[in-house]
Amino acid sequence: MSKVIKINNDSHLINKSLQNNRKAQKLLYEKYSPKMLGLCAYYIKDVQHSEEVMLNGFFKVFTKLSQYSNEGSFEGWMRRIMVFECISFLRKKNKLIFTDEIESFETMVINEVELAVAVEDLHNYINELPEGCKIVFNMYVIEGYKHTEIAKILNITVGTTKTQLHRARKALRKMISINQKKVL
Amino acid sequence: MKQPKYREELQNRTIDPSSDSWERLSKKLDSPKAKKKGIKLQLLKYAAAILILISVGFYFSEPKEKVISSPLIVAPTLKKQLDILPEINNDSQTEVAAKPEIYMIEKNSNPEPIIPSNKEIIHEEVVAYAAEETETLVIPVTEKTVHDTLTKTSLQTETLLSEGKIIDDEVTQLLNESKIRLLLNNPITSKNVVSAQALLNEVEGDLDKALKEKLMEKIASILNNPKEVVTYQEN
Repeated sequence: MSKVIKINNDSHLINKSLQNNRKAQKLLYEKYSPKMLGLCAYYIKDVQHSEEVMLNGFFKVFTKLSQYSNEGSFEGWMRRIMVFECISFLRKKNKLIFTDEIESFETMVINEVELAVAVEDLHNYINELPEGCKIVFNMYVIEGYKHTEIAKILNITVGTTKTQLHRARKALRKMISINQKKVL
Repeated sequence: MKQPKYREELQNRTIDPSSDSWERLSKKLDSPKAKKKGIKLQLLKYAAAILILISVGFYFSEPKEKVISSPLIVAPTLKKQLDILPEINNDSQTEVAAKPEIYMIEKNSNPEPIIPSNKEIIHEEVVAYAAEETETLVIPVTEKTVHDTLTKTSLQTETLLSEGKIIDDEVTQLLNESKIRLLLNNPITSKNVVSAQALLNEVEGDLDKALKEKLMEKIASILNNPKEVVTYQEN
């Protein structure tokens, strides 16, 4: 029993992976790849592309593993790498387009999106969002980045991130209400 | 900080990758590009360490204080000057004669003083020096002729000085001219030659003699006075 725990332990696998142990790397990959692909799929609709991006992300994880400082969670560090990889992919494909909207933020209610729908449905709704606001929504709602961080990473203003988030929420609400009406 | 429930649920979304995905990643990790990156990084690390070591070594090996010696100023010399200088030969029979340059002055000498160019000035100085040297070492004239010429010249100068027609510089010029004339009028013969080496030997002999006498006196005084004890203390 203790042996199994040792094998599945992240730090042990990381240490082995640092020594270029392919088995340990495979174990880490098998453990985290479904989650990472799920994350990439939030940003890139096409599954083939998202898988390619995920593999690139894992390549970076294993080649830059020495930079992991053991301070935060390993999963969090990997998720960050995957998000950056997705953004760079979208940048290359010229899919990072943000349209500024002049809107009063005072009237905006930045509440959490009400989850009155099934998670699977929500995944589908998110996938239907326009590229610009989808990225901001994913980064803000799913990954928990702050507006200033998102603005810095995407090289846009804080105002733009807020606008994009507002647009995403509006669109999601509309989609949910339409679907609820359909169900009723 | 506790994460919202919806975030956790959204983050836990899983999609199974294709079956050959690991193979692709494994191939990518085995590719020379990935290996090269690692090797390059290692090489860079080693190179940086070596560079640091070398620079530190240079820093400490450098002398802290540099003593800059004052530049040596060498006076300009002419090849001719060395030729003109009198030679002191060990051979007692060697004849020392003045160089032909001395005669050139006689031939070209004018009653009016000539203002030569820079090069000529150096040459003149060299000649004058050579003339002085030859006078001290070689006396190629008889006493009688010297005496006659000097008295003649001194009489001339005295009369000129008394009349106020001559100044000191002109007197020295006249004296120089008379010296040169003496040299020219009296050809050098082997009988009149004085060996410089012989003179030196004589002087050294005298010195040795005086030193020997002094030493003998000292030894005798010490021997005569047995009470005196000479001791040497190292400290």
